[in-house]
Amino acid sequence: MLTRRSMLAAAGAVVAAPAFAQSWKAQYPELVFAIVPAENASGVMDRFAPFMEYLSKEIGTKVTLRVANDYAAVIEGQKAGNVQIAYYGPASFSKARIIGVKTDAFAIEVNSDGTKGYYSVFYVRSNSPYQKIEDLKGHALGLVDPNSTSGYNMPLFKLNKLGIKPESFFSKMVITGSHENAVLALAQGTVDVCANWWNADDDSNLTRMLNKGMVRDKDGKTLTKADFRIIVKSDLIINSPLAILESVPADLKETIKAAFFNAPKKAPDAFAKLSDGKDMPWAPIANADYEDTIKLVRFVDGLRKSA
Amino acid sequence: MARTVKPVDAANLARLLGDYAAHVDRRRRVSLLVLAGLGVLMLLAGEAADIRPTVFAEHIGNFTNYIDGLFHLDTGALVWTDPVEWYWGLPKWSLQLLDTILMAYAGTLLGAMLGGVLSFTCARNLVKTRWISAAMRRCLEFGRTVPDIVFAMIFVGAFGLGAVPGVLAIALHTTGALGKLFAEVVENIDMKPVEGIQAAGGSWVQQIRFGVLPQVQTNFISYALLRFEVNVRSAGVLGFVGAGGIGMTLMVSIRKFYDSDVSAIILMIIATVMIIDHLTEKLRHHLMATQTNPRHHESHSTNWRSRIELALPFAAMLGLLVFALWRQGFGVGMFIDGAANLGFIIALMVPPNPETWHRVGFYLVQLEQTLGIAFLGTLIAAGLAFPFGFLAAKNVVPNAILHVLSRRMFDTLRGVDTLVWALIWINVVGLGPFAGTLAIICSDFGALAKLFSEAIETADRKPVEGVLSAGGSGVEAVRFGMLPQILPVIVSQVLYFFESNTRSATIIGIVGAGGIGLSLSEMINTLEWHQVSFIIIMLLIAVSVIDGVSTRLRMAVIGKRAA
Repeated sequence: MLTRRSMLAAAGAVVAAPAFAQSWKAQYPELVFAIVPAENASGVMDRFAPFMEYLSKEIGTKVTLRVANDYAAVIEGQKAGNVQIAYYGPASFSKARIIGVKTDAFAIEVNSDGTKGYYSVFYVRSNSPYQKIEDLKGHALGLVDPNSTSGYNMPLFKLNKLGIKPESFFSKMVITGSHENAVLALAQGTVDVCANWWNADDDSNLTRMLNKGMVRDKDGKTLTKADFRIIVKSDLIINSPLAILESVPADLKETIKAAFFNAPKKAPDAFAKLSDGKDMPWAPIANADYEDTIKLVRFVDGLRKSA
Repeated sequence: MARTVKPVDAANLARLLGDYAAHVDRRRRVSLLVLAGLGVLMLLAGEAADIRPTVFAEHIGNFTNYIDGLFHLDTGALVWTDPVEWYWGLPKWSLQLLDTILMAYAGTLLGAMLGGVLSFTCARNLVKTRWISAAMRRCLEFGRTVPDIVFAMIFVGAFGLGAVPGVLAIALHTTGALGKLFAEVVENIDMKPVEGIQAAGGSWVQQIRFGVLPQVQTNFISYALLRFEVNVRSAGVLGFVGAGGIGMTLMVSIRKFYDSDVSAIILMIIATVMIIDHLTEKLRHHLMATQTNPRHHESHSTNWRSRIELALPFAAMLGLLVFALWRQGFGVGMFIDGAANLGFIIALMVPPNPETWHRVGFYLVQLEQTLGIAFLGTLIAAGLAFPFGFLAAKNVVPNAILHVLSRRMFDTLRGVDTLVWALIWINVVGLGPFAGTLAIICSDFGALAKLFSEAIETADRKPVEGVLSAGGSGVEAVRFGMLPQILPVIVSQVLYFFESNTRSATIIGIVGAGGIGLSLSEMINTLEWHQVSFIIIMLLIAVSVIDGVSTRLRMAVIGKRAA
């Protein structure tokens, strides 16, 4: 059955074909770019809209944005072959590689100071008595998503290193679904401690949420940075990769990569909007750079049976 | 006594044949119009649900691969070669499954009790004040329109994580669903006993207790038992949103690609649902069989034995309820706290506010997608279930093995929740409404095929025998002897499923399988309560419109046949 989208794309391809005469046009009337939202999906849609316009123009074929609402959905999309370009987190990319998805990392996020890594932290409310993780025995822990690096794999790894068996140590362990939800669960008192990503003192999921004024406690009071305390900070985690399916034809691959790497120059506003101007241009990266994350994910996968 | 039949004279015959042809023509035209209308709607829905058969054809291999993968251990060996490794988490999973069942039990019982009480207040034959019964009806409609998982997401915010929000969500949704069914039962009772009690000066409560209750109790229990089975299945996935039970473990296993864990847990859930299905069916048949006992002898003298026999099961049920609630951490203090939080959340929901027109448009597009998913999913499931219903009906294909096998297959398909199907299909066709449509097709196919085959089995044999004795073939016997009997039942069930699928299609959005669910879950998670209430109201309106249309259609279909 023809859909409006595929018909439009096909029509677009017909118009574009003589100009470019590239063979992959027929095979890929539409490319799908899937991302895991760090924030709510409509926010992500707005954030990505100008960039998607740029990508479609630059690649010469329609690029559709699919906002997955969890990490595994992106992995599954790539596994099924209907998501050509994916914006992973390090652990979800590793998981994809582990289960045999033929996808290759080609670009990595670069922080404003030029570093390419971030941290996982445990937050508690500053008005709570908890000073170290051991104080939280019998309380509720909020995690992010089973395939999140800083919100699941790294925290469980860290707890293991601290000699804590989370299932018996905490009264509850809950998957909140996203980084934002984890912070909100803590703010609302649903959990007593939560894991989250953290780049720098002025750049973390928490600061981004605070800037938007969206962190409120149970009584509706807007919270500030002073209301939160970090009690554990992890080792450095390598930044998130952009990955492309191995099956995409080489010339199309090059076009796509060029579009991403040239974005900061050709569409500076669209690029800046992606990270509120916090990120520097993407840098090239290879699969091998994620070996450590793969080891981490495998280790955490093994933990479940040893509990 | 033999009598010769006088042949119809030629003029009369021509007139009769002409009338007959005209009638058939008219009927065919209507059928054709209906079919054409359905076809157009399907195309529209197909566009809304982003159906792409080519994608399906290309990726169907992924489905078999995925299913195949579920039955392999990490080592690559087939799961049955090492059951110990496959079911490594059995003790843990069993406990979680038990909690899930208790959650469903407590929710069902609480919901059934509340639904029972409310059903009396909205039955038109018992409450003469129109606006009261209408208002109660709206309340029940709200309870059953909002999916239990959505209630659970909201309650998690108010009551904290764990089984408590799960129980409450199931209870609320069950109140709505059972309340409606109960009210229909109440409206169909014989009013004479009620009038008798009224004439003798009995109060409204006494009329209910002695006039209505004896007539409806068996049906009430029977519906509640059916609901229990449904609730066990949906309780299995409430853990996806942090509301206790085995759901969270299942969700993590699916999302972390712990394939053999997924198959192990899903099989446990299916087995549980099947056992419960079997037991409740036994119990229902037993109740139906004992229902016709004459009661009037007993009512003159106090028969303690029968009273105790009646009271014991009730005491056991209540005891189990208390145990279930205790085990799930219900407490007076937490309940009051939670209720206060909930009140606060509800206060934040007023007024419903989408903030921008752009948002309204966005929601409308998503709602259209949800409706498209529900419509197409139901219709395709019904189309597939139709032939299978015949295949599984004992009186059409009298083959015991085939019968048992096909019934088990339907139960297996039914035993997997729509949400789990959605996760599986996302793996095959990618994110989006197409996966959602396939999920609805899978879970509905099992349910509809089962209902169809039951409808076929209860069909009257006489017309079929009539066609056969007149020399008709087996196919003709089914076409002319059986089909006219079961078609109204089938149409009515399909319409009912479409309505209920509008709700299921809402929740699959939560896992990314298209439709309004994505926005709804997001807005709940980000505590945008004005938006949440706006989306819920949109849903309520959509469902009540569909409800109205489908009730009319159902009446038209059933009424026409009956006349």
